[in-house]
Amino acid sequence: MEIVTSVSGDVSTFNLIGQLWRKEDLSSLEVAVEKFIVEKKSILVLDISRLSFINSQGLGLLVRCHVRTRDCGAKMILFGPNEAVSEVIELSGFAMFMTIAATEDELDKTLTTICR
Amino acid sequence: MTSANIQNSLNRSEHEHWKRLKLLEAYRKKRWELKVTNEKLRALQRTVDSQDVLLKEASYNLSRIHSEMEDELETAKRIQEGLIPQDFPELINVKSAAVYIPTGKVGGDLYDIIITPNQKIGVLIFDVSGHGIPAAMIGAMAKMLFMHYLEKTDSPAEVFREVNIQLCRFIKTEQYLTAFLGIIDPIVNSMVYSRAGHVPPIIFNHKTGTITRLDSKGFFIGHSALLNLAEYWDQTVQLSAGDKILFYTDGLTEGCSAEGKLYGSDRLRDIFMKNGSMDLQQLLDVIVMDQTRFRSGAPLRDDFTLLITEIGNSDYLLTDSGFTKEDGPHILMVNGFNDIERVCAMILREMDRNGFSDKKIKQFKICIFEMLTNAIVHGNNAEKGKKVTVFYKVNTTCSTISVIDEGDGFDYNNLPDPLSPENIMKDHGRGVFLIRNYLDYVEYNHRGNRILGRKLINGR
Repeated sequence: MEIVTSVSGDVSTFNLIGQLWRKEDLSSLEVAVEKFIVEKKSILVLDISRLSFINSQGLGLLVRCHVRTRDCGAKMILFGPNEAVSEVIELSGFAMFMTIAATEDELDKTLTTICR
Repeated sequence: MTSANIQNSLNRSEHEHWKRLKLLEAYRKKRWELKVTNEKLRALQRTVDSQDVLLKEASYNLSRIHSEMEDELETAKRIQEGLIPQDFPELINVKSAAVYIPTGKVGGDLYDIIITPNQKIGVLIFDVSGHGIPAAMIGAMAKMLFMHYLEKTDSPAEVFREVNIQLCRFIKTEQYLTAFLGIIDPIVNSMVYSRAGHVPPIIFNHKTGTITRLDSKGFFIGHSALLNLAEYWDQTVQLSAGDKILFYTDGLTEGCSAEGKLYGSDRLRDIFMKNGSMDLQQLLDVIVMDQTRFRSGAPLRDDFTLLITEIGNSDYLLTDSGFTKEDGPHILMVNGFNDIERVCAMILREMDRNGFSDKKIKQFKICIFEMLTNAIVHGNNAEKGKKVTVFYKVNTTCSTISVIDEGDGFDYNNLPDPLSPENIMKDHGRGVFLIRNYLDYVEYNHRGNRILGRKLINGR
């Protein structure tokens, strides 16, 4: 999996491209999130629109990232899951505690609300 | 002195003078001839000297070329050794042993044991006509083609057809090859085979102690003049635990004694039948020694290969797998995380072929990942050397998978609900939950080290 990072003001965006299940990919994302926390940014957007596959270990990592950012006073947003990934996320009940933006509009609205 | 006397004396003196002149002339001529001869001799010597130099040069060049050819042959030998398996892969339910006895540095015999994409076991043996580098080159080309087409089909006849077409395009000499290809299903212990003019293998029946020749029709491969005539057929033979199949090339039976008597296939059959219950390596040794003894010092006329395959007992494989032999499931072995994608790709490809929707294939993919990850991580505690066995069967109504690990099992009845408030924020415990949600049927064995899941093509 490839992680393409971009920063705009207080918002860091990690574009996850590929599959999230291999040990080394899970570690890479975990390291990237730790770096985000060290940089003291307040919003982390995980752009998963190009994530083609995730397993339960990948889901577990998303939960850990959510908890880690929350505990550090930051906010994590899952953005743009495709149909297959969206189904798994929904099934796993992530909508109950995570912020998920399905579209660009939803992401804009969410960011506006958080920044207000 | 009279004038007559004076005249006579003058005449004699003139005659003497004339004679001396003649002698002088002859002497000069001889000297000239000697000079010419000496010149010729010197020229000849020069020619001889220069020829000697050329000869020495030619001799040096010849020995250099010979040395280069020896080096090239040695390299060719090493290349060919790379094409002959030094060790056979670890196989499910089948053991093999082989020996190759060359007459020169390189030859035209090749063999291999190949695991097909469907985890069946391909046993290939072939013999290129002729000897040396030309036979070895064709052998190498043929081996690559066989490997290529074995990736695409489990039908030996189909493999032969394709290889024949390709080789007929490339072989520009009169050479050809004979081949035998058997594809063994390690679960049901049957072998589908095709023979391309090769000497028929012999089966030793473990229960009855009898032997059978695997006769069948089929043209040899690679002879372009016969391309349109060449046809190959698949046949099936049912095998049992303990049965042995002897594959060989005709160099073995065409070995001659010092008196010019052939070793022959009858003698081979007799010795195979008499010693069929032996361990594979022992049996190989017995046959090779018998042929060597028979030749009693006479040189081999042709390379020979001897390959013996023994069928194991497949019953234990299916025990507790959730499948029966009649289901005809495929079997795959998983040694670690690196195998997960390979296994997954094979099963999903079958689902795609059988008409499953993209969505259902993706859902099944998650289930395979969860089952295999659980088996490796939790079942086998990620211990190296422990295996996970996967059985699967896909048809146009459902896709079924059974995953067995070597662990002690787990209590599948008391798994926490990952959606309950106390678990929702945990970073684990979702694998089985996803499996149960995506599959139409899930069951565990009593021990809890085997999960079987099924997804219907028209299900959820």
